[in-house]
Amino acid sequence: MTETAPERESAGDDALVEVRNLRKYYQDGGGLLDRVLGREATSVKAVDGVSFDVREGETLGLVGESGCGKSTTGETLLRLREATDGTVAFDGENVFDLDDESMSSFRRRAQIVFQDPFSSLDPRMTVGAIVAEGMRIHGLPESDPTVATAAELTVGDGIDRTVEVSVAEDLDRVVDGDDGVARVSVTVRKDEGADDETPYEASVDGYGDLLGATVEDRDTDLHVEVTVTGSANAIRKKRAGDLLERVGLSADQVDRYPHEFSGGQRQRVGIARALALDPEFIVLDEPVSALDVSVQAQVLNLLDELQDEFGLTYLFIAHDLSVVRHICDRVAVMYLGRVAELGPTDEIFENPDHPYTEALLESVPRAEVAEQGRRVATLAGDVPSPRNPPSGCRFRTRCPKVIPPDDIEIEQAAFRAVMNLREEIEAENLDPDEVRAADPAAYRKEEVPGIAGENAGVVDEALEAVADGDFDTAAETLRDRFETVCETTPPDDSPGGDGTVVACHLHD
Amino acid sequence: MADEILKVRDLTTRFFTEEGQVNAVEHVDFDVRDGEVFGIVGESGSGKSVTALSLIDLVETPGRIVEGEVWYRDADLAEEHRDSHPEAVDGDYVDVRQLPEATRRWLRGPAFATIFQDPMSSLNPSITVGEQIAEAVEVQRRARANPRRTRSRTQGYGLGRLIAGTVLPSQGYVSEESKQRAVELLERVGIPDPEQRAEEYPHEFSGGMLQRAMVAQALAGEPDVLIADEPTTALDVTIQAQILNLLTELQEEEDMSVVLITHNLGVIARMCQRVGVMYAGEVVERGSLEDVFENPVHPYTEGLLGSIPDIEDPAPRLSPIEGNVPSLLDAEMGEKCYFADRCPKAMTSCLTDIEEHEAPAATDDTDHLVRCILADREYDESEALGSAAKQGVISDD
Amino acid sequence: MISPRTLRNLRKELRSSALAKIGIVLVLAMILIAAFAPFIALHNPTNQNLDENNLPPMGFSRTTEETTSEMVNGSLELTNETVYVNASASHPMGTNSLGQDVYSRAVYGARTSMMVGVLGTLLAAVLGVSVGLVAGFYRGRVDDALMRFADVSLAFPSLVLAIALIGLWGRAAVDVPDPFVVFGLVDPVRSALGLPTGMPDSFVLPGTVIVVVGLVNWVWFARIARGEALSIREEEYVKAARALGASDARIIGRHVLPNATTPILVLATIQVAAIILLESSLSFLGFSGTTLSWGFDISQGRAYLSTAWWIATVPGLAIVLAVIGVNLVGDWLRDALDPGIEGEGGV
Repeated sequence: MTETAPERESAGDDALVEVRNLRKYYQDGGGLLDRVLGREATSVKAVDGVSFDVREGETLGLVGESGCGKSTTGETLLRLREATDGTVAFDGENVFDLDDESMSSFRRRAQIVFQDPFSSLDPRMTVGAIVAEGMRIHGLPESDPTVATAAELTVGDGIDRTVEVSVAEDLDRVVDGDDGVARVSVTVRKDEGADDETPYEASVDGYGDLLGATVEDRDTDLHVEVTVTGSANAIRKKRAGDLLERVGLSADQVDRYPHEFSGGQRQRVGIARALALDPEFIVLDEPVSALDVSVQAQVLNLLDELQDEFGLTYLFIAHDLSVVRHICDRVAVMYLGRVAELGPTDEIFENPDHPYTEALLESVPRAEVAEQGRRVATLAGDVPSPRNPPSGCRFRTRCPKVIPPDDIEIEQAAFRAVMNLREEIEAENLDPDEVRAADPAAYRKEEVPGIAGENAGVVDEALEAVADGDFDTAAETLRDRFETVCETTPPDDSPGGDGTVVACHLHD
Repeated sequence: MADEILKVRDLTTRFFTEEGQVNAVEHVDFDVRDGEVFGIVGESGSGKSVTALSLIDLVETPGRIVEGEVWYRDADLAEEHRDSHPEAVDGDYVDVRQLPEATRRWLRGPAFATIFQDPMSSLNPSITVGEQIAEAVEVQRRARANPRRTRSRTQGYGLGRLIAGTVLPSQGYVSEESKQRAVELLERVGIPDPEQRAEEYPHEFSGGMLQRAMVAQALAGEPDVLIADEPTTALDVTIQAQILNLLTELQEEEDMSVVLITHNLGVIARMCQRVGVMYAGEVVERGSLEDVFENPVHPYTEGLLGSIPDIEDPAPRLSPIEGNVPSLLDAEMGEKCYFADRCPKAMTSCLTDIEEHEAPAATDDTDHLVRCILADREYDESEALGSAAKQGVISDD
Repeated sequence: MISPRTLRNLRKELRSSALAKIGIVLVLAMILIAAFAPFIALHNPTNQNLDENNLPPMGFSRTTEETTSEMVNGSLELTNETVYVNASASHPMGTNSLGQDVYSRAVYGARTSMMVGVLGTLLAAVLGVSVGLVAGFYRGRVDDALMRFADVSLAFPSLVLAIALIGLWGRAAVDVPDPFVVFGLVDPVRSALGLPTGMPDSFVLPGTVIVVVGLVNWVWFARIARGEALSIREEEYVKAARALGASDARIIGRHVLPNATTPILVLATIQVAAIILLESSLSFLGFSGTTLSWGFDISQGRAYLSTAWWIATVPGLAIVLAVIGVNLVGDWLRDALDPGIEGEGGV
């Protein structure tokens, strides 16, 4: 392993996946007709500069509400969508630069489990075929040259010749290697009742029709040969059956169709499919969101077990914070296409630094009696449009802790109200007639309580401009006095030395 | 002692499908008190949504309510029907199920109002939000103005009126007052710039805004009971918090009762004073929030509480309930406890005993009722159902 | 591709729908008649017998005016006589103006219609589905180009286009030997039944028509296939296949196509009906390269509609029944397979 770069310390925490400044924009309105009509091409900035690492063996959670870009990040990371900008390094190599062959091998190492158990399985294929498809595509199972093959021989009674056994090199296609060796048990018997031509027969323990053993009578000794007799299809089907068993279903359900299974069971099939290629890294895109609570628990336990057994690294995308708390080692909170906060799970949940994380945690209802009648401080308004994200810190339009400029004195709540007013004015959402009729000062008292003196004066001035229909001047007036760092400068969201992020000017 | 506004007794709804009879709701009992939020919690297949539909008589073929009474307290209504339908009246209570259909429909609005899970599909995308709410208001207004027995509320909205309304706006069905009231309602539910918003179409609203608009529409008739079927399931958690705050506010101010149906135990905990837990079409446990969350008796309730991750204290491993939800086909059910095949404390008696038992309650004014013999006796390992017997429970008796 | 659930739906729909049963009966009848034509026809449909021309069908009689002339007292006397012509038992549906048996011609006509219908549809389907799937799957410029091409094809009235193409290529038709006759299976059976032998040993396969029909009708398939591809490509299982490393070809062949079969199948049955009609029109105009066709017979019988109406009516009825049958089968398929009932509804 190369030595870690100076910025990145931490003992032995190798980053398996490194995402840097990932961007994914969706173009809208760039077509011919739009150009003719002179319409600007706007783009939906679904992911707008995301950076984080996923360390080997960990479960990194990616949370956020709808529209924050978490699912898009997961898919773009795996190159299921073409990124607009940025890099993703998997085990040191840039995923976006890979050629076809390397892509193929990347696909085997990095897999995904989807959210919707009802549409992620092809309804026309049996679950066995679904699980085996990956193997089929990559020509698996194939023999691993580093795995040796061996057989344990049992010689039956009445055989007084020396018996020699040889095993095919590709036996490991059927038999899993244990400590680098793929082993089977072979028995040679003398069958008295058979004709004298071939009194000896050999059989392999287990594996049904997939493996066969033949005996060759060479005067001096007997030679037993163990070969793979099953077709590639048969081998895959067996592996598919094994995988189904591993995820809690039954191997003889291999020929059933998806519609015969419940949601939780289908999700297990999806997990089996992801495991079939023996990956190192799995993106779990809301894997339990569509499941009932009790089934959710079953699947989460399963994911936990599998991670231990197979040494997997997970990127767990979810919106349910309780689930994330339970399964993730570190968590990244996303808002409107960027990372707001990233850190160890316990830290984030017990001491959230970013106001959005705080608000998010505050909103989650707890399943306990103490929750009764708890008054939750809610965020005002809705998430802004990803077509036109707010300048500077994207959360500033709703942040209860938006930072007032140094040179004025104003209460936090009042400043929030002023900012809300500024947004209304900039969007020209106010009705000048209404403001005029109500008289600017009175209007100000109503909409922006708690300010006085110079602050109040400036707001009144702005409202007068509104009453005249001059929104530009109004906006200008307010901006002059009340411009906040939160709108001028985007907060730093690149991962720090310990890999954490707090994208907020309060923590600069 | 709070008075009950709604008493549901023995409600049974079945679906008669080609595959057989599906027992969606089985002998469900519960009460809803004045001004309280009563929660019904269950997973998919528990029958909670069908229960909601059954209350307001929205069950469609092949489903049918085959049994049960829905007692609604309305002194005037009781007085009116005391002579014509004596078996449907008991004191101030009227059994809604036994009233004529026209009357039942009339009750939707002033008595019961509903909001559903997905607001986008509950509103007509080609009509402005304001107009839809105004229509609801208008319908209520007209119904109030006319004696219920002689007219159905849609009286007056025939084809003629439709054409006239399109050609001459002043002759439209919806009056100016109703439009005004619609804007008021939008404001009431916390939608900013209500006049402007009323002119917009559903697709211009966000999910949270739309759900608020749904609540506004539900309020049009000033209902006594608001039935909310998974009102926040499709919403983000911060928006959910907003909507739940709104519902709490409204409920307090309008003194409205709410039947809140959800699978989310956290939402139940925040909103409800009393809860019913449903499984396989039955109410398996009901009582105050404290009773159900802190002293659950039914192993399903215990299992449910044990399988959810706690945001404040991550357990090393969740304890899921093993197995799957049973089939609700009549042919495969029987007279036994439907949870027995998954129950860690199943005993032989569970194959026959299915009555509701009383369990210790936290407060005096609320009962804690459980459909499980563990309310009366301790779990006895010697009588445990072996796995073979449990298999037998799944297949036919 | 045809899952057990699909079969169950088909059976269920068939049981409950009387129209579906009628459709199946009609279509099966047509297939059997076309296949076993040499056994079922009463006479060789090409045998002419001018003595027995324009015979009416059983139960009808035809009147003609016959004029005889006679010399009476030095002047020519013309007598008009009304003569009754009776049906002949050996031609139960009458004969045409060349004395050919109408019934036998209708039976052999079924072959032409069936072959053109099925083969033409097959060609159109293969071409159209391929184009449509590619267009819908790739979208963008590929889609634009292909669909504009399709629009242009669609803009031509199919009949005119067919005629133009046939004019360009000539009426290339192929003579295909009739296996039943060639293997000598027909004569023994017919003799045993007391029917005249000597059935034609080959039949004409109107190849040009089939090709033309395929080229003209592919657009319908392309449209449907494209629509399906557009929606299926968004399904999560397609994303999943991509995540596994599947190539585009694999995804289209293994995931998109099998899930698109339902509407394509329904369209195919409708198309067969349309193509039968198209072939009839072409034969009517004499463009098909074969005279043993329902359309051709209709055109021949057109002049006799008031007198020997059966010549055009029998093949006309045959077309009607064939088209109705195929359409009913198409309805059955559509009702049974659409919408696909995925998963169980929640209670």
